[in-house]
Amino acid sequence: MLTGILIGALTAAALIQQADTLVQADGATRLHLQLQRGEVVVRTWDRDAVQVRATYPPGRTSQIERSGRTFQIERSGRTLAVRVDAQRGRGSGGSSPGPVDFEFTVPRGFDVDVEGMAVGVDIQGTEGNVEVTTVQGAIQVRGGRGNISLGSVSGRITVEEARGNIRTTTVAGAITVSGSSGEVYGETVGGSITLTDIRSRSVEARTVSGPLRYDGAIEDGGRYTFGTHAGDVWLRLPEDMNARVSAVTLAGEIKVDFSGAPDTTVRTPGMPGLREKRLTFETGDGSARVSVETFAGTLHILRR
Amino acid sequence: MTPHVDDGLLQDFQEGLLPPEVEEEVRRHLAECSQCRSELETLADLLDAMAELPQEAQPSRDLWPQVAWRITGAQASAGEQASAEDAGAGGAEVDQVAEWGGVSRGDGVGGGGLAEDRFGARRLRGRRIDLSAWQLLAASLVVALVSGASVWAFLSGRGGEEGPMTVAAPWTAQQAVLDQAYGGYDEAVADLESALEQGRHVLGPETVLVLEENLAIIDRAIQEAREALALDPGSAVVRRILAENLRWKVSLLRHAVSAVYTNT
Amino acid sequence: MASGSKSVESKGTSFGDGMGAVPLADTSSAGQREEISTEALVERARKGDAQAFEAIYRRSVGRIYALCLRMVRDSQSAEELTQDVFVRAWQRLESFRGESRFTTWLHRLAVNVVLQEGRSKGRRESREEVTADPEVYGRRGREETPGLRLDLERAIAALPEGARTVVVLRDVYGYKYDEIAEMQGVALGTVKAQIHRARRMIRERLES
Repeated sequence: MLTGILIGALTAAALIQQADTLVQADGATRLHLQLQRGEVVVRTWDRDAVQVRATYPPGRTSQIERSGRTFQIERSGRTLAVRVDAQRGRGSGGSSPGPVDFEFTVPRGFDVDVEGMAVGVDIQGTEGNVEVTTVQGAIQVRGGRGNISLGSVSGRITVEEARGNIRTTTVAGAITVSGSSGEVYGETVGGSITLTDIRSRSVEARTVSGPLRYDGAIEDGGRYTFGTHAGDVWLRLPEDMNARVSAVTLAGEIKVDFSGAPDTTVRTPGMPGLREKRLTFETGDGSARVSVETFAGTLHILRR
Repeated sequence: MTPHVDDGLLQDFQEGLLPPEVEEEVRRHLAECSQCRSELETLADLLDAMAELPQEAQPSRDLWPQVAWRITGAQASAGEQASAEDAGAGGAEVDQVAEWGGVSRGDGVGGGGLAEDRFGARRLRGRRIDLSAWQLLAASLVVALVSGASVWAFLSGRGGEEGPMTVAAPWTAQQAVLDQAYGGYDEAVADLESALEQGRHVLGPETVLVLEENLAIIDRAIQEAREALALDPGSAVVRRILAENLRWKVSLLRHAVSAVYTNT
Repeated sequence: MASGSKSVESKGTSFGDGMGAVPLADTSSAGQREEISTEALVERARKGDAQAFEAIYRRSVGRIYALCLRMVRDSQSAEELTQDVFVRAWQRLESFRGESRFTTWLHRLAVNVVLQEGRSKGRRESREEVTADPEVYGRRGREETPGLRLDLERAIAALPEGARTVVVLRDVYGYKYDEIAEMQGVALGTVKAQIHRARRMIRERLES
């Protein structure tokens, strides 16, 4: 099927590859992949080299197409840039290249940057920064560190066991972050945001219509902000937290099952149809701030 | 003794507005009449006191940002300007971005490639716009619309954490501010929509559908917030939600345009 | 105005954060900082320099706001009108030819804006009590009888709008009768009668 080729240190010249390639890192610290379609898997190891394996999904492409597809690796500064070329000599300037599946094994500290159109991405074990931007295709990151910035239009985003500055953005894809620490930011229009088992001092989650769920720590002095227009919000908060909670909804409900004698006030500004419901309460020394704002969603505040 | 001086006449006398003969008569009367003299003195004291009244007062907040917004029509933050130059976007594109955010006098119609379509909305037309310029433009719009810019500060109630930012302003005042905001905002959205329109074929039908559905979700949310604000103009919460929803729209469009150009 | 010829620096993009800063102080004279004259700022502002216009704003907003506040009495409207004044001033800068002092020109423009607003919107009396706290006005010169000043401010604020406008213009700001008549678009005699009445009402209120 595919033969492995061992390649030494690269210079600035491009190498055309079609198979299984090992590239010495030689001072490179970042992998940058640009891909129209395909699946990408990134794993790590202790070697100071990058292994690239490309496969062409069977059954999806014709023999002729497959033979015309190549990818390039270029070294530019500290970045190893991998790009899939458009098909050559096909005379079909407008057609996009067929899918290519990649499997990378990179040094643990590498930064990983993937851009793609319809690309599923699965990254595990990295300790550097991660940046993924796709239009379609699920993104999954397990165990990242540093800055983790993931964006998609309709792809689902999942982050697990990560530690760092986690930033997730979709239009319609569901966002799930679990077992992670550091700063967490998530935004989506219609997707849901589910944050569980989070240990963070800074959490912000925003949707327009999607639901928001948070089940995690509330650390002293932390800031936790949840905003949605029409989504429902579920917060499971630790009973022993030191926090001031303030929530407001205009057309929704607030349902509380939390000790601390929360004081709910309803403000009706004299106009029919608009009743602002506020909930504020404080527990412990009130050092953390939990704030929720929704236009029409229902807010549930529960014990963890 | 001549009859007492009429009050109006006395005031004219004090201000030196009488014709000489009349003034002389009043003067003669005053020499004899302590009551009128006393009246005159009271009047003079009043006029002195009024002239001494302070002529300066400070508004409760800095009004400059809103003035600035209105005289420029749209704003670009200095940071974005700087990165426009750093990024080495072509000179023409930098002018484009600068023009967008630049000060324009009078009616604010700029030159340099900005054409008006039949709805009066400005469109970037007929220019080969590369990705960096678009990103800068969109980024600067988002920055201008989201960060510190006056109207957004107003809309998002960033004058105070809790409660309404100001005592409930008359709806007409808010509407005027919102109209100013929407002037710049609508153009921004129109240009982004235009860019998206030109490039949507790159994204594929499924993605286009996702974008359209979610734009509709946002538009509905914007409409609901606007209606709520009309019902309760004093609500800081509604203002913030409206601001957030407006930001969402630009954010989504920008996201989509980036996706188009990245994959072109 | 051909916008393509503007330099980036003069776009005033940052309105005061120092980007493309216009020096507001002339440091060329040895060791001494002199402020730039208002006239120089106006010249720059006429060319589109928004930062210079901001400097003008900062120098004159206190006076303009106070004028608006005295004439309309509630701080909300006064703030809106103040903004309107500066926006209008920016738009009309070209027509200022230096025939009078800029501050005078600006002041008259402010009066016109306030009077026009009142006319076009058919401004109704605020339903609420007088909201402008006389304390908001800064202190000026010696303050011999502060209690009296407060009473005086209140008495002025309590006047009906027409009377208040003219008496403020005349007795606080020193406009001449014929100037006021011209600004109001009414006969001189009418203005005088209004002012006389206003002063009487103030006195009555003070004496009660």
